[in-house]
Amino acid sequence: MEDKLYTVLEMEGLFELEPYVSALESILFAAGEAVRKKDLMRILSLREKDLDEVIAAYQEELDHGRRGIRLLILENRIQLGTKECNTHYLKELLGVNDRQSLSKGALECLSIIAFKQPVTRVDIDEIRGVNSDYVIQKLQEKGLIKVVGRKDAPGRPKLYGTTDDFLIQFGFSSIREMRDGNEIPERILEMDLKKKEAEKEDIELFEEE
Amino acid sequence: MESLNINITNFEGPFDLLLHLLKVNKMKIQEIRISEITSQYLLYLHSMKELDLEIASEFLLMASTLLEIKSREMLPKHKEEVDEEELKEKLVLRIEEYEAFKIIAEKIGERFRNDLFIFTKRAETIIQDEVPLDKLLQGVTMDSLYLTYKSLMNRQKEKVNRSFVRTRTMEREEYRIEDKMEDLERILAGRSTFSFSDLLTGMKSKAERIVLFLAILELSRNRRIRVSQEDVFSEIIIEKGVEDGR
Repeated sequence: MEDKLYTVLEMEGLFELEPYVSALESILFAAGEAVRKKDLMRILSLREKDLDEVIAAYQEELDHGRRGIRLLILENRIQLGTKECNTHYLKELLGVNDRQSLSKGALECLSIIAFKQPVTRVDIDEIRGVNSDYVIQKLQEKGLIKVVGRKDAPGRPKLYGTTDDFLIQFGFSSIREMRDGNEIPERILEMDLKKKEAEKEDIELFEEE
Repeated sequence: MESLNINITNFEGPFDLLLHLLKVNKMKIQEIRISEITSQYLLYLHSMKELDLEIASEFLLMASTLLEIKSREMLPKHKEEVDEEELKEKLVLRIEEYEAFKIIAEKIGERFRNDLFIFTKRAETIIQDEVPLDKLLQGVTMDSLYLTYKSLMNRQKEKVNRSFVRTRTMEREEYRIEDKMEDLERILAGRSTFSFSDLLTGMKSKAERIVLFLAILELSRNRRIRVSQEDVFSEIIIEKGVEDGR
């Protein structure tokens, strides 16, 4: 076994960020796909609080430097991605076609799922006032949403949530970022919280891999 | 009322149409005037009909909700559990919620159209050396191989269903509910009550039991017999019906 490359300075709240930022970058580069924060904590032997600090420092560096890479924080996983502003060049390089647009209904449905997930089809129908069967199926085919669990209610309806691909395709780094940029009236949020609280025990989410 | 120039655009649903009507009338959602909106909403549905467009049931459902609130507003107040204010408030909330998501949908739709891709790398495939055979077979003995093989074969054997090989004769079954009903009434003429399980013991086949059960249901529906049970799964008691006692 090699010696640990970096040792944590045990002094409270004071540790050298730079080596960790560097290590984080290497790990994310080598991994390519999203890496769980849990794994990063293990690999770097860092506490969550410290890891968050390292991530924040790295993100700061990427966002404000003249860099072409951005950090994707996909809920509890982290991944490197290209910056949106360079899309044009990348499309040229990779020969990607323009993507098909999404219908008004699909976008409505997607917004509702993004905000309310995990959510059942009936809940979506209720808000939209129309049946969303077809739209949900299409969104699933496009990989923007997925079944994340089942609700313990008559018929054990499926619960839907958004995918990483949704975040990436819409250029959000997290669901929170999406929510922050799109306000919902306070009244409705409150109502929602109450409903979520009441139904908490009926929600069964699938284990993540 | 002045004729409304309705532009038949594709509305996503009843809420979309309501929002449109509110906008045309320069009404805020909270200040929705139900009676005005209702008549315009219905007018819209009529014009859809004239154009031979199929009106989705969701639009009709909304129409009935609007009409309900409108008619309650017109009627003198009664002490009712739900008053029209409550219904209206609920409707207002739903329109507001729909509007919020409609706006978000438009915003994220713009983002999507802007075609801002984020590219990510594929997961790295790290080629691992093949495990050499002697390492793979470490600790494996002839005995353990044999046992594994044996248990696998046994598992396979257990899966095979042999029960259908036995030959059986199937009797042709002919039972009619009408006959069973007559039988039952004949028995009831002799004694006032009997239990369901007593009846079953004399039965030859499943089909006969089913027909008997159906006959009991039919008789009890006609009130020729009374069926009672003290607990779930406890004995079912059959008695003469009330009709005879009249």
